[in-house]
Amino acid sequence: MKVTSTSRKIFVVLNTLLMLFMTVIAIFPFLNQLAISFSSSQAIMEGKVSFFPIGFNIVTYQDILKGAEFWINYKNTLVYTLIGTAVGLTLTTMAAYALSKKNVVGKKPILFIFVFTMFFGGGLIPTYLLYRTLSLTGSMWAIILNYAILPYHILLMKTYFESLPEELEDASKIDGLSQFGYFIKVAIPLSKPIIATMILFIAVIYWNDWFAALIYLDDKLQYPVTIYLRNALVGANIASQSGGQIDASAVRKIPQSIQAASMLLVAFPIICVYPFVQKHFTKGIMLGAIKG
Amino acid sequence: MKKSKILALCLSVLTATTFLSACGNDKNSSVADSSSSTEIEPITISMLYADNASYPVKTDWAVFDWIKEETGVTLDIQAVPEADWDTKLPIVLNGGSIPDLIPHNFPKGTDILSGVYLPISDYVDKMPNYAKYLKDNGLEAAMDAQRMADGKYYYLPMKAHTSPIQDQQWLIRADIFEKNNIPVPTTLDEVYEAGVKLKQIYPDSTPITNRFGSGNIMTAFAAGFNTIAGWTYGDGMYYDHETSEWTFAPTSDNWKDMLTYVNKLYKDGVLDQEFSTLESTPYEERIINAKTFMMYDWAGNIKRYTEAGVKVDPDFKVVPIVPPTGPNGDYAVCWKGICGQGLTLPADVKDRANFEGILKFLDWCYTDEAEMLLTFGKEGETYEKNSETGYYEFLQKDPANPVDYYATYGLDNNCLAFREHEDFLYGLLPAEASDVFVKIAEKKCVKLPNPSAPLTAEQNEYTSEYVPAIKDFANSSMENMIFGKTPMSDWDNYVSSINGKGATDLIAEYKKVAKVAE
Repeated sequence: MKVTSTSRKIFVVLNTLLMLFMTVIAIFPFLNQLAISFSSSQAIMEGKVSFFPIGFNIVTYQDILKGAEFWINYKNTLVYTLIGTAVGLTLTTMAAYALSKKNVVGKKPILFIFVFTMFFGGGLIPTYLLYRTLSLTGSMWAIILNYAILPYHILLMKTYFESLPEELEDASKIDGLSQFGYFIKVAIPLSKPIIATMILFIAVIYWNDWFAALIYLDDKLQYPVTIYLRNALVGANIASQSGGQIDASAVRKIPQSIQAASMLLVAFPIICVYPFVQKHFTKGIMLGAIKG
Repeated sequence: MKKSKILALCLSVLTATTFLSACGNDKNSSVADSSSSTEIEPITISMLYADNASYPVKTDWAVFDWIKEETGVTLDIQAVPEADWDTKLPIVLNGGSIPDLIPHNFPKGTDILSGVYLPISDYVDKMPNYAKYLKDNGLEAAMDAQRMADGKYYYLPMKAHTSPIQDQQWLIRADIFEKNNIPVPTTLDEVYEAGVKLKQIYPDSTPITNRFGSGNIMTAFAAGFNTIAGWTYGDGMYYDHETSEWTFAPTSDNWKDMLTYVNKLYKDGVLDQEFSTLESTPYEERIINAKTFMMYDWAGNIKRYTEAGVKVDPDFKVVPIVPPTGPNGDYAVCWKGICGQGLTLPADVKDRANFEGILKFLDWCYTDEAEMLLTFGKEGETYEKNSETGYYEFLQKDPANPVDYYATYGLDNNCLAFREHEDFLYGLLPAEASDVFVKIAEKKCVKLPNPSAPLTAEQNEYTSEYVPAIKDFANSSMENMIFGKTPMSDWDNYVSSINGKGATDLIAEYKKVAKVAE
């Protein structure tokens, strides 16, 4: 960077410091939890651990490796996220593409039906009864279909598809492509930024979900790891806030080092996805915004 | 670089999970049989189960095998995370297929009125051991107090004792009190004085602290002022067993005195400034690190605190104290019934094929053998009698690596131990405080709870429309007055606001009942 004036120099220095400071603030919780996960429980209880592990040990991770339930739930989360993202992306892309076309019959009422669900829901128990009647409860499809079509995603993608020039479609028709051929061979390759954004959005929703799983699943071996984590980390606190019964047995909790390690293990994969998607991410959102 | 790392992670996770999922459970289900021979046929009973992360339920727990050996019952467990129990329960109750047993649940009045629960009191004659347990220990009155307006009660006691024991108690750092020559407080005023002294000696401490929201500690204070608040609030109506009168707690003079007192604690820094928001982790850190000296906590946690505390300070000693006397001649102890948990059954269970078997199983759960088996397990295998104290306690062959009997055997479980052997609680106390429950019992300061909802179905339906709003307002006003955001001089304003929210109607409904009773 070419620095010109003195005030500019000061600005750059201060700005860098500020950004560094903010980065540290953002990273600190992760470092702290990482340090806790490798520390001795005594040091943690005494509140000594900040950036570096004290009483370094890997017992915590050995314990976690032994905990079958955590990994079964972890596997479930991976499966739900992979299948959910695939199903969700396919359905959302197709719906958004169709709705982006001007000459689709009944476009407005269909769009209205989608948007309507953004403002009004059926209520928890009626929705549960519906899922039950459809025999979805107790199966992973209750989770996957629950988030497969989200109107916000459809609107975002629709706006993007609308920004593709119509002439492109005309040209490909002349070259002999069918409507579907144009969608697969032209529209989708041109929409990589929005698709990358969608993958991230949808994947994060499946990865973070605990509520749908709690409501629609009954077997704890089917639960995603988020439910496990929630119960392990803040079980008694949440229960007390929602008016649940608390007693000596309920306040028992798993050691903090295990909490920290589980939390990091759950956050890690989804954090790793961000850097790869980020470059598309901003572009996708911006394109939709400007041309919509 | 990163990609390969992720791939490696994913692969390792998948390998681990495929390997581990091989160790999954298989549920035996056998056809229910309602024959009434003396031998109990093998049957399956389904149960909703509140799952705690520190002792996640496992189908291979020894306790399930023992139950099966004794009764032929296979429990089909549907686990719900404890954190979200209150979210899931309404779904289960309204969703159509309710398991046979719902433990960890004291039934709500509105749910009882909707007819979802079985009036289990109708079946006591089919459970002779249960009836005997109540009779032998003089607990019939305690359960009779739970009868609704229709004369029936809808839950069975779980984690039930042979006498009312209040295991949640005021705990103090005895060594700190001793070191600074501060007498153990016997009245709430002395609690304040001790707190002020401790604050002077340890300026960066908060002598009294609390977790789980203001409800936890206010429950304790309220008892000292002869009123109800926090977790005992209910619908706000408080029954005085001596005068046999119902009063509305949040507008009573006792409530006002209580707020004045707690406000004083708060203002002078004796009560933790974060007492209404503190989470468990920082709370426990404060105890270990001598940042706090008095708390309202379960006596069962003392052992855990001491284990970590002695490494910070070799003298570390936490003991429960006899509840300090409140200004109205009562004692600051939260009352608790004979049980810590309640068990409910769905109304339609009586038509199910295994109903006779369920009643037999429940009846067995109240026998003395079941009490021992479900609390401590088997003698010589999981427990022994401590020759010094005379209490039964879990066997720990290797004190350095103690066995976690909750997590590996499923013992003394909130959803499985119908009766809890009292030695379990006594055994956890430090030797010098082992008689604290006896002293409490002698002082008779564990009060009876309110009689269970005396209102009729119609009245309940009517009052349930505004009771939650009153409760929210009473609780938020309570906190604001403690924080000093609302001065106590605003009391009259507050009373008229809460009356305007429906408190007057609520009181009127209770007056009607009182008249009918006369």
